Amino acid sequence: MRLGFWVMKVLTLMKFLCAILSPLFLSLCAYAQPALTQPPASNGEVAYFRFLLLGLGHLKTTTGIHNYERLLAKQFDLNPQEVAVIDAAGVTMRALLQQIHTSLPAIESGQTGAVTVARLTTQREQMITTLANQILNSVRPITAARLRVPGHLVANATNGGN
Amino acid sequence: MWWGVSALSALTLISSTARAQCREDSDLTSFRACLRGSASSCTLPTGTHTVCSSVGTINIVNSSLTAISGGDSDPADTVLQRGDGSLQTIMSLTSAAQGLTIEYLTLDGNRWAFGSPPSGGTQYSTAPNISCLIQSTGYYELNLASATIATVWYVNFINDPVAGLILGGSTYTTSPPAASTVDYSTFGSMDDSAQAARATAMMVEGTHSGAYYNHIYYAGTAGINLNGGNNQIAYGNTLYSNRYEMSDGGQGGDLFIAPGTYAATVAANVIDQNFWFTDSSTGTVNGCPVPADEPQLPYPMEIYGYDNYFYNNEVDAGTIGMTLGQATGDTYNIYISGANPFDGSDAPRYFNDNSWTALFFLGTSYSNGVSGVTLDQIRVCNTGYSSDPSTPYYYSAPFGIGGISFNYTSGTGFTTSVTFGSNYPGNIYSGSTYSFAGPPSSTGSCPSR
Repeated sequence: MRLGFWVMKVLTLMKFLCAILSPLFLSLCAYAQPALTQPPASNGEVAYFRFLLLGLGHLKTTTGIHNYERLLAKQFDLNPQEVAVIDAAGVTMRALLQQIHTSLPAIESGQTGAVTVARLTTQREQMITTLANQILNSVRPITAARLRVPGHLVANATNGGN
Repeated sequence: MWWGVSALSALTLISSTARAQCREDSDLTSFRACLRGSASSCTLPTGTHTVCSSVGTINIVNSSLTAISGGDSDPADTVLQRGDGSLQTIMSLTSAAQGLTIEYLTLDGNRWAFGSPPSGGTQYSTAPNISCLIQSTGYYELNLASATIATVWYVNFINDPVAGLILGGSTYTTSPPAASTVDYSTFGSMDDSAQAARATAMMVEGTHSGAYYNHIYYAGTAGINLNGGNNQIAYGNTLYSNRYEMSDGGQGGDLFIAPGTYAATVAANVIDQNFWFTDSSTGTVNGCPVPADEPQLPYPMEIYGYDNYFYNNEVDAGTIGMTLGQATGDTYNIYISGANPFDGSDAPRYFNDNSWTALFFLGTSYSNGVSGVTLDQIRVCNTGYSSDPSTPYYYSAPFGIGGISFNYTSGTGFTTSVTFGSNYPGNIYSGSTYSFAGPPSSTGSCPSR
């Protein structure tokens, strides 16, 4: 019982660190994750996470981030631990977006090529998928189910949605 | 002194020259040509592209287009920016496109670039100074009023001098189900109220048109306006501190359903009014004049029309959570529920922290009230209080302005039908101008947030 408690503690700590450091330690973090209990996010579900994570990742102020997460908690009835998981994903996303933001002017001025923008875009999309699955596997099952709903609703409602 | 005058003159000259030299880049020129041509898709490369009034609004002429996209999948990376204050609309649909998707773009109205807000705080600016236009001035960022079926997703709208998006939808299909929608789009910024629209963020028109999972922050008037259509849907949107500048001159609703709108569905939205209000001490907001003569107290929802349905919305931090039939008499057959028939696992949401009352069925006279109301399992928390100094409470408790007021009461389990004639100034507990099928229950609990 006590051993189980400490295992969970360590895993939680590693998940937190991985969420923050995953751009650098993605492969290492993959081993540190507990066995996945959630099916991978579908394309439609990732579409919602793209919106969520880009919105959070582009915020720069503490107040803005706090309000964003507070309203997200109302949308999905998140508990504080789940808000922390999403906040950590936002930190990761913010770092990558900043890196891309720094690179884009050089790309647009022709100093680096289209290959670079394609690589960064691919990296961002991979990051969104990775973070989406990390979130789904780090929140309560009921919350994971709720976070999957927008993707399905929008896909059903849109003309041209995936 | 000479140097000062000279420097000022030089700056003025530089500024005038900069405005006169609005130039579009070759990528935008190619993009415009694509929208006039016969391609099925047009992509604008990443970067900021200035749109000049000398060239005009970017018109979407090609009715066979299916996709208009930014250069990558982050809308922040591809920006269409207003290049001068004389340009009224950045992009507009001039054909009756069906099956068009517009995605991964930022439309930057550049509201603050062409002149400062009026220094006196009492006058609106006029173009080309577009900092504080009046609401009725016809500036949009994306005008899709003539769309038959169009999808807007992953589009950001910032710095709009009046409105962000007008979305039409003159038809819909059932197999597969499709109608005009705006999804996963952001209006304004949670970081900075000055990036919001001066007036309405989005106007949704037509039949079966929808707004799904958008974020709308600090819009000057409504965040979402379901404007006179039918069977429209607002689902899963987050609205925060809208009606911020109140550029139409008075209080109103963050989510507005216009008179004549019918069979609308409003579900699973989170609307937080952020206790925002203005009064004679406010002065200006974002440098623009606000109504100065009396307290202006916006509501999370302002509702008119008939046969409209509300499911499990979070309605927070206003004086009145939801006002119905305030100015016209066509508000009837309204269903308000805490359940969500589209998603049985949906999170429970509340009418929370509304300092006067959760629901205000107003009507315009005793003979012109709101009727045909059903309240089903709604949850009301922390409402009708008077002691919190951080909230705009101007009248002595109990205010009892009518409609329904659950003072510190959870209405969980309240399933009944209510028919109001007009209930001003009574309330559901003491008035005599209403009838309902059964008493509310006082069971249930409020979330701690």
